[in-house]
Amino acid sequence: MFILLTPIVVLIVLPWLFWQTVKAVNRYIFNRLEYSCRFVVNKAHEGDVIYLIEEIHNNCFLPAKRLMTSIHASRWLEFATTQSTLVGLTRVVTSEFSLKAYERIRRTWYLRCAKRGVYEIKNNTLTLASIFGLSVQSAAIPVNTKLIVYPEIVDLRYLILSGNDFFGDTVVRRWILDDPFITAGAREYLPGDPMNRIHWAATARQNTVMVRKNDYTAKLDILVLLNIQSRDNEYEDVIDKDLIEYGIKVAATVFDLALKNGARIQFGCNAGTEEDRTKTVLTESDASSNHIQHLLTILSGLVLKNVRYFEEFLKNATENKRDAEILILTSYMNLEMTDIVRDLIRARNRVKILMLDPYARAFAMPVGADLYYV
Amino acid sequence: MFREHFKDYRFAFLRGLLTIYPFILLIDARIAKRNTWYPEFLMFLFCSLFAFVAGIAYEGYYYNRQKQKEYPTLRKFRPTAALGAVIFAVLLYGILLKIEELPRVTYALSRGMVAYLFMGIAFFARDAKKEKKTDFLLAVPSLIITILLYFIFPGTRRIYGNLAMLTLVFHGILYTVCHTRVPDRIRESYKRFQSKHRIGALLKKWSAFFNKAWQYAVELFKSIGKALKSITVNFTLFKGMKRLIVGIYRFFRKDKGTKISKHSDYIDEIDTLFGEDRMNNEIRYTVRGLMKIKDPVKKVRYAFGLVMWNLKEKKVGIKYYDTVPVIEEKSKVIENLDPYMKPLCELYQDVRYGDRKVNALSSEQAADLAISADETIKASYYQPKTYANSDFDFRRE
Repeated sequence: MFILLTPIVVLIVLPWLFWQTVKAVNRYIFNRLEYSCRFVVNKAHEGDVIYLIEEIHNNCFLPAKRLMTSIHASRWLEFATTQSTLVGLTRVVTSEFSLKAYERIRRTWYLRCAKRGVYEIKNNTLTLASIFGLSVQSAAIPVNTKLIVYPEIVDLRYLILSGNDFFGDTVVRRWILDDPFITAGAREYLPGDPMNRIHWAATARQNTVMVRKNDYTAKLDILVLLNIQSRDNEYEDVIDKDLIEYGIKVAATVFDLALKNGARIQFGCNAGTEEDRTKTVLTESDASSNHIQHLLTILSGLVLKNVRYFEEFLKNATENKRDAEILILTSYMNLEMTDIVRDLIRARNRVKILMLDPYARAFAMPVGADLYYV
Repeated sequence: MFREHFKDYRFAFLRGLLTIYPFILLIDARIAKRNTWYPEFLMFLFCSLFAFVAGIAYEGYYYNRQKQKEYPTLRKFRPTAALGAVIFAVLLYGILLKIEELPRVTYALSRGMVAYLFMGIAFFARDAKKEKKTDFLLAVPSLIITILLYFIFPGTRRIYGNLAMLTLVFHGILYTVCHTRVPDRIRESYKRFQSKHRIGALLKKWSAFFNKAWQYAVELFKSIGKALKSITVNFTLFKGMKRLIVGIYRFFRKDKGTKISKHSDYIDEIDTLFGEDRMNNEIRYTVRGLMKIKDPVKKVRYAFGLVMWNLKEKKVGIKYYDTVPVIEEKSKVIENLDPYMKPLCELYQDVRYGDRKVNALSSEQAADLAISADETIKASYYQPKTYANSDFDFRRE
């Protein structure tokens, strides 16, 4: 009997036992591995180089020699010189670790943010192979790290001709107090006028005492409206994506300028965001840096699909809007939009149209609306 | 082609052989006694297998694999790993032995170990980039030791003659054919083959050996079974072995700070962090620990701590500055936990902030709630909404 069993034991049972032992040991090591992965920063701008930290600790007295991790990141996060695999919009970066007993490795990756967006790394894959590849343990480890990449800031200085453009004060008809920095002209001296207000040149000219007459000004709220449609007859998806991406960059630049000038700003767009793709965007008006960050975050997560036609959106967003500065970022201008703009000007709004497409024609531009080709 | 290959891989090959060397010496020591021949053969099989795995795998496979990638940090690990493997095997061997044989075995082991260490020093001190002359000089001590051992202990020679025993496997297959229900024609021809030819006679002789080997194997398995039954002994042995390995490892890793290795696309910071060091600073909350506590106030606080520990393990995102109502609110992300958390939080608040006394019944109630909550949390599936790098780590939908 034992003679019958001997070859079975030697050829089958012993290798099987060895295999099972290797598997058990591999599982034991794998269960004692600790893994984490995170971006060093929460927010970055397009084109920035940031770091991603992978940390792995072998909390076991046996070595984990053939360990492989796969980072499932967005394809728009470019890892420096690494051979990564692109699967649709996902970039899979595979790297190997060789850990001794109780060893911890902190791997710092350089990566470049190629495009604006909200990037999340939810799960990374951890694979541990045993000797001779007899056993392979693998699991998806939740890492939950998030990065918001803001759009790039472009140079718009050539558009701003005077200090009052975009973010300056505007003259209004009636107000309580006058603006000491804005001089409208000169008037005759009245009892009670201070001496330092006397306009000596005008006094000499008129042969009577004249004082400076100041104007009444107000700082206007700015409403930035971005048209996500690149063409007039666009149904849902954006056709000319580069044009709209540039529009988003221009909007980000306007927000940045608003923050520097302390202007109150409001943003609207006829597209949805990653959080809610079915609703258009129309924010509150505010001047705080938190608000600007919020606006930039919205821009980062903007989906290139129009939820409503821009004419309809423009009409609704600017309803009852008075004494405001409205910047419309659009790739085209049709007659319906022109009519709405005319109504806005009638309601004492300052309207500026920033045309994204350099070859686009604006039909029947109303008097009072400024047109810029950015 | 072969020469080039050997040139690249010769160190790995030699080191692989070196790992087997102490086991050969062990068998040598036992064979010299003659009265315990079969156990050593089984030991030889086991040790060869182990040595093959430890020696060839570590020394050959990984070394060359890493060498190709120009990853030199592994080199220092090899002597330690090889030594660790030897100690591991020796300890395993020690489990199977009776205490009366200990002095004799200790002698054999020490001889093997000393020889191994000397040879190890000779080989591991080598560097592939050094001159051939230095290589030769370093190899001389190992050569002298080998020659001395070979001549002083003639039993060593015997082992080489016994390598032929590996053919027994094939003999076993033939013998099986003979003793099972096979056509008589084949059986008869095999018996004729056994009685007439010289090889046949040899096989017959080895059959007797096989009977003895099998008997011993049965005894050995029985003794292993008995040893396994004694859980306490094995547990202590395992713990002891683990501590020994960690101790040796700590000794080698002592005073070694963080190493930084720069690559084209990433930077690695490598350091050693022992689990025990980290665990000493943390308090572990367990159900067992909860049941041990007698003081009602401490019991309620421990019960709450147990739930907090589990929520932390699930990465619910509770911060040290969160108040009890906030914790209660946050814990709602785990399904079906609210019925346990609400009364437990009330009890905890009374004890922790209300400065109220609780009776034993309330504390038992808190313990029951905590145990139920513990089971619920462990059974639940929760994908954390917290982000590893976010400032605010909790976000409600």
